[in-house]
Amino acid sequence: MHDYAVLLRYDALKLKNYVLEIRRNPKKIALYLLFIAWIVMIMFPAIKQNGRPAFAVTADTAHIVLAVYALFISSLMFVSFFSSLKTLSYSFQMGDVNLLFPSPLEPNRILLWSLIKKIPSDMVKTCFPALILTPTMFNMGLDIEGVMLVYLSLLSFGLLSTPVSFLIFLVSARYHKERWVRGILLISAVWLLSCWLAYARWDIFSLNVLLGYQAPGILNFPLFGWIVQFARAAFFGATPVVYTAVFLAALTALAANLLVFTLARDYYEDVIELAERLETLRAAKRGGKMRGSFAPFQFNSAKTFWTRLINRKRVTVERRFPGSWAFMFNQVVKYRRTGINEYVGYLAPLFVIAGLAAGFIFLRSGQPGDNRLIYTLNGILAYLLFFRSFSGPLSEELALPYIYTLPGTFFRKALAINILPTLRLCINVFLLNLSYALLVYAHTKDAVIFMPAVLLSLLLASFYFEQSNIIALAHVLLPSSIDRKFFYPLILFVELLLVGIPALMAGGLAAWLTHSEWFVEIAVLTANMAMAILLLLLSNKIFYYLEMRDFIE
Amino acid sequence: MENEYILEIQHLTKKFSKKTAVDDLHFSLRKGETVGLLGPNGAGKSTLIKCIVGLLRPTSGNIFIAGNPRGSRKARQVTAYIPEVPQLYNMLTVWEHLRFITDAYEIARWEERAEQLLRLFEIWEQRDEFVKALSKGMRQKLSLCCGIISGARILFFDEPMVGLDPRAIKNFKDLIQELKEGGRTLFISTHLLDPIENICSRIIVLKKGKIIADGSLEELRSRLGEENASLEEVFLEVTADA
Repeated sequence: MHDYAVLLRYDALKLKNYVLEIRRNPKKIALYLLFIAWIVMIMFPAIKQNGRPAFAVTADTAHIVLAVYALFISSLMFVSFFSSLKTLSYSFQMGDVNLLFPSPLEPNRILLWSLIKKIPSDMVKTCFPALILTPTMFNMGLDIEGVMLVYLSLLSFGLLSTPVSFLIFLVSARYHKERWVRGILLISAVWLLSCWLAYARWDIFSLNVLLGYQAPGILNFPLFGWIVQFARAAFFGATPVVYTAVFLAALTALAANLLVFTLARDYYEDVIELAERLETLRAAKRGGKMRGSFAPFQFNSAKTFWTRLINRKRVTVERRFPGSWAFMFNQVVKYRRTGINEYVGYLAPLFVIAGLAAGFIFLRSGQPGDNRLIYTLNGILAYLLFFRSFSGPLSEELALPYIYTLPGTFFRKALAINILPTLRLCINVFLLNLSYALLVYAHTKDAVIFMPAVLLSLLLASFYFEQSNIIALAHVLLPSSIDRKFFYPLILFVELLLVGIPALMAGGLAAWLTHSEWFVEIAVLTANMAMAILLLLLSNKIFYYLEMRDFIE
Repeated sequence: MENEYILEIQHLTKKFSKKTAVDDLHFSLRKGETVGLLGPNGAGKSTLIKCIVGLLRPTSGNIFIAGNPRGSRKARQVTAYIPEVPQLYNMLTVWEHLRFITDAYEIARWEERAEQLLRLFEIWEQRDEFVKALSKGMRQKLSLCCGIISGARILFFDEPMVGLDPRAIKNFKDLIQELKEGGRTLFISTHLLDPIENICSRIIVLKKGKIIADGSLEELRSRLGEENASLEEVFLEVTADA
């Protein structure tokens, strides 16, 4: 018991110190209060509105949502499990590595304590997406029980993934049963896929294929099936089978944790590399050098798996990049290493597939001349781009010293950093819209469809470019990462105004003068580009007064 | 009869994928010895120390500390490790770190020694500050204090003097002398040759994971035929490519 007493005492002490530290730092208190206020603002109207859904979902919509959820969860789980065959995505703090590991405390007791400590953090991490979506869930007609079941589903995913992935690693790598475990995982994946397709009667070219997630062979499958069952019960009501699944999930989580505790021997080496990597990231984040990462380990392991898969090219770049353009060299190397070349990444085929799929849907149910689908598609992309604020190459470079030390103006440097990402996005959007347009044109022979395809692609690229420059401005105005977090809602609001007002004015004027949607789009595009250049010039002026220490906290 | 060796390493090999970091090392340390572990970058010094203290798994070979296999509770009870990079608990104060270590090693009446160490390294004033508020050099000093206060019989130092100011290096040397006199076994991996020249009773030089020289400074000098050579000259000579 001595070991657990030591561990408990020092974690309690850390927690106490953390609370004291928050009390000492008014900025942090305000930040947390803002966060709580934000949660209350989300939850309160949603709970108050309970019983009066804004749009009640039909059974069909529920099936589509659940099918997408099932695909998402299965991808995360299998990527996490397969990557656990060779590497462990479980981390400790470097303080643990340097002080706790060499100490006389028993390694498996340290691990058990860590697994127990991880439960609340896994709960928070996995439930966070559900928290944001709670109002939407109420609006979709879910009652309190339904929302709780969605939480339960995500919670089960979070609580089961960590110990099961660890267990897979132990059996596979430490007990040398990789072939067995890989075989079991492969058979499971094939079984789930077969059940899905068999239930959908192999009708893979229609939306009916989405119904396959509710095959009994899937819903009764351990782990994955239980998680999907909880989410399904949110829409269609809980049956005694669901309560049995809750019991089984809890039992599995307990058994997996105990098995990890029993089987883990000499595991320190397996966790050190990730601990070092995360410590570097944390240090960078503390110094305001990186964008915030709020990713549960499953996402980390998925990322590691993907990075290992693609990040192994030896790259040579012959071209020279003089002066400020040296920043472009980094982009070229990075993109060549992780993509087909610097202009086209591995995601490009997905854009083509998405465009073809949208075109296919249009041909089945759309009306000739109706461009709503392509606008919706681009609208969704623009929405996603809007919420990608503060990530991207410019925010990364701004945290490094080279932007201050290399010759040239900030204007040129920011341009050198942003050109290639903007070009790549432009190519991807063109691939999406043109593949859609080509498919539609092949059947309708109406070449007009190319006009919105081209204009929307350019529009989205200009929007991306403008946004990158808003990020640059936000960084030079608020060099401190704490300030940026504090003012994040305000920055988003300003961003909306900066993007929206000029575009609305230019678009409105063009509509009034020409009554043509093409000219409206051209006007908005011009406004975006003008605004982007203006913002960059403004950042350039402000950057002149900045010192590097402003970025290093 | 009690074993005269506190550390025994038998044919230790450590591989990372295809790269061999430590290659069939075989040596022992007597109780009370002070050993300097030298070698160029990438020689395998840190890997060797991490294998001994249980942070890395040997690919093959055995390690015994005070007669106990590495990683066992009895082995760790007599071992202290001072890492190269002083990454500690950000949310614990300097004093709480020492309390934590003495709790883990079950050391009673540690306060007086803790104060003595903190004063020696001139971080007594910072005893109630969080580690995250300390400079890198101060963290290194705290890391040294944590290792020393454990009361371990064998201490492994990985680049202990990096980041220390000249006064702290002098104090560290004095402390090493005190620990030697107290019968502790010290294993010091470093690139700073001058400070350890007069401290170590034995020098082990690693290169590409293998021991290329092992003996007292005098033995190494006489092997090279240069009686007045400094440790730096000996090091450069033995690590020079043939």
